[in-house]
Amino acid sequence: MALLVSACGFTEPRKFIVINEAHDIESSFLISALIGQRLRLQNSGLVLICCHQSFKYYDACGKKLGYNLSMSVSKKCLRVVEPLKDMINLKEDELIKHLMDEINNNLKLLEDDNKKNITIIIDDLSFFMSLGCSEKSLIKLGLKLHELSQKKDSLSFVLKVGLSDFHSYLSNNLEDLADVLLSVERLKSGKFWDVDGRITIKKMNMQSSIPLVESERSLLYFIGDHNVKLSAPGEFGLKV
Amino acid sequence: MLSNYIVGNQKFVLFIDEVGLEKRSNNIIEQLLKEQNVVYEKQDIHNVELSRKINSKTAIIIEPISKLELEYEESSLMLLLQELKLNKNISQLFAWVTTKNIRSQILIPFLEYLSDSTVYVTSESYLSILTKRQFANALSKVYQHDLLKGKTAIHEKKISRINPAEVEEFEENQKLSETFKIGDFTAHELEAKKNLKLPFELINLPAQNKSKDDNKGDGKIVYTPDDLDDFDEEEDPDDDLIM
Repeated sequence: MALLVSACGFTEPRKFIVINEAHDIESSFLISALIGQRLRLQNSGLVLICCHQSFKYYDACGKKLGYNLSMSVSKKCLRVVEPLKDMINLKEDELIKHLMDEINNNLKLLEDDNKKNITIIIDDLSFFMSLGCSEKSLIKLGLKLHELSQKKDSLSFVLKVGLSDFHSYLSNNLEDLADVLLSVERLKSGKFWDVDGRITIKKMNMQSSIPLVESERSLLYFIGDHNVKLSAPGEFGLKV
Repeated sequence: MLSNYIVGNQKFVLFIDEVGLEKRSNNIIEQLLKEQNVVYEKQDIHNVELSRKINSKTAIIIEPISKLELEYEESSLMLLLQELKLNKNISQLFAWVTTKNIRSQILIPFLEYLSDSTVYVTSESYLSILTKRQFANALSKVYQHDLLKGKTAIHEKKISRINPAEVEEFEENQKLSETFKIGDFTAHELEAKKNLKLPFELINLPAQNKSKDDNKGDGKIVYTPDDLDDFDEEEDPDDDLIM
């Protein structure tokens, strides 16, 4: 897991991470790995907005990976927002406003507890499109969150965009804001027993006078019971 | 310098970005204007309305079109841009549109129509500038650029015009230098080709055409043994085994 965390740039001071998830694959393991890494940091705070997977799912994953989310909630290191429970009846305008209010309130509570290294994770922005939000309103939300992350030194955001291959307008616009862009997709060549999919990691350069992309690499992954195995493309071959 | 080609000549300059440099768009345009010592103003989404009230002659850099599209409806955005173009107090108007970040399909053709000069950033090292001249045809040229490296120096890439006579001459030369000639035979060559019998075809020829020594189907191997040849004896080598 440590290899995955460092390869994806979670250990670096990156403020805006975007995860693009294709329609036929699951990238929640990245969120689980990130939560584990952030909770191990001293005096860290986390806001988890569970849209695609429930809190119970992440709690169960955490136990397999060696951390306890329920304990983090009781220690007030972790704050959970579950839109499926409290936002489902809201209209489009209210929904975005309510989500923004939830983020600001939880952020304030964590800051009041003197938490540093605060991370806000939105597990699947495309979920709000199912509730009636337009792509434009979600891009505006992304812009607001990016602005907020630039204002506060200790704050970083992780946004996951599910079905990114269908919502290309949303994902293309969010890509431009990202410091790290992770794209998770299935192998184009078909199914393979030892590999579940491919992660493309693009680390962007935020300084203006040098190229946009700092580094770009692609890794194959396999999700085991308690870990994620990484391998380089081309590593697997015929063994004669 | 790239700025010599872009700044100061045309009223509405549009950058069409097919690479994804929107994040750096303002830096790139500002640098071009600074190279030419032009006074400019940046207009964000909420202040575009204010640019209608500009009194002194200035160049205006508006927000990337993808950001304006989030705030304005297609029609009102088109009207606004048209109005800005007609504003006499604006000396030059710069807009940046990234193709992948645009929702509306009609916006880019409209902007191309509206612009006086369009800079197509087609790759990280090439761009082409289309300039609409008032009393002549539009002029399009391709240049190499280093926009991302903080330099706006460019080199013109010459694309030679294709002359039909040159093409014909080239094809003739190509024919002469070919090792094999496939097809395109003269009548004489075609006849010679038809009459030529290849060795494997001789087997099917009628008997009268063959010489007397030919033994059709009676092939045998003629072998003269050498002194040192080691032939297997006819005796059974396992004869001494008692089973």
